[in-house]
Amino acid sequence: MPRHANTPTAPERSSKSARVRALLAGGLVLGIGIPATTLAAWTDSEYLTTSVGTSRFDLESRSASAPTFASHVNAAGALALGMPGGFSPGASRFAYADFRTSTDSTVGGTVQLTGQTITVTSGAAFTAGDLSYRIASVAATASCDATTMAAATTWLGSTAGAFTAIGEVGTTNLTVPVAAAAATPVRLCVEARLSASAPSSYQGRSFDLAWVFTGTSAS
Amino acid sequence: MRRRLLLIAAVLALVAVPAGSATGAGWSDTEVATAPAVSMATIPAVTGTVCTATRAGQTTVTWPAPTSSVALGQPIFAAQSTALLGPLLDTLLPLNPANFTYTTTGSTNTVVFKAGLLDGLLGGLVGANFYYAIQNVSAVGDWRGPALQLHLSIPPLVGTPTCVATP
Repeated sequence: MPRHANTPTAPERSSKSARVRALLAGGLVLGIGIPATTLAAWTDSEYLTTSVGTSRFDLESRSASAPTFASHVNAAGALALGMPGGFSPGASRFAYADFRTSTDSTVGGTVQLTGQTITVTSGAAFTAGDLSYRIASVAATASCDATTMAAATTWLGSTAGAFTAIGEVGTTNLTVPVAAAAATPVRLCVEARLSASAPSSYQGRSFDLAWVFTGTSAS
Repeated sequence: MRRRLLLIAAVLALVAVPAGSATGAGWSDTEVATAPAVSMATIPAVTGTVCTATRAGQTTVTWPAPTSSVALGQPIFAAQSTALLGPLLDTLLPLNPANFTYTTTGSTNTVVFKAGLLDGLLGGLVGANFYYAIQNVSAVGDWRGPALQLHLSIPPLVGTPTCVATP
């Protein structure tokens, strides 16, 4: 019977078997070697932790009409400043607003006047500049009137007591400081004035005045 | 290649800086304060008048003192004869502010004025009006209230004068 051409001879089979055993042995060495290294050392861990928090800054205000400090963040919930009585030529109306941070505020900062608007609710619009205002930072318990304003030295949004037209915001003396944790409220006295040359046709008109103050924390 | 890396680095720097600035600016909070329903003063009109006149043309007008949010000055008067001969009568016996007497007692104001003598004798018509204005009106412009019109009619020789006030 003739030998098949692909059938290995006995020495060939022996050589192949040896190669397979060598590969298996190598695999064992590689497979066992790594865990053997791990098992050769002790392991231990250290965990570090710290309590990290953010600062808190919450501005509050009050007025004679609303004497309890609270947040008034938008027009719908605005702080009410009472300005009773009618404007007449050359006459002023006064109202104060006190500012502070909330009791849980951890940082102080500054208060800046960032907006002023007028909404006429009855009658025609006014000529620009006929209505104007100025704001002074005064003593915390000072009354807000002509005498206080005449003696004021610290102004917000103006210099030396200059008036700013209603609808505009001044560009000088932009901020006043406020302390953290409700300390040392700041009183801002607002004076609104009608020009002495205002025409008689203004009689009886009604309007709302609004001021927007932006507080910025120190850190 | 190097220029491309520098460009990318510059872009990243621009993106990163605003975020850092915002953090550095701190927290912000808004407070809104409003003075609602602020109003302009209204100068009141003269109302509630009682007007009496005599044959001699003496006319007395009384009315309650008005309330106002602003200080008012004395009423301001103007009067003239309105009969056909009125201008002539006014020339002969002119009505002028000096002819008026204004007094105030408590809450009642009174003004007395006298028409020209010939108005009383020949009959005539006298028109007057008066109104309030802000005190020191000349200093603050022309802020005045609505004028009250008085029409005094004196029949010739006999009859009772009439005085009608028209707002």
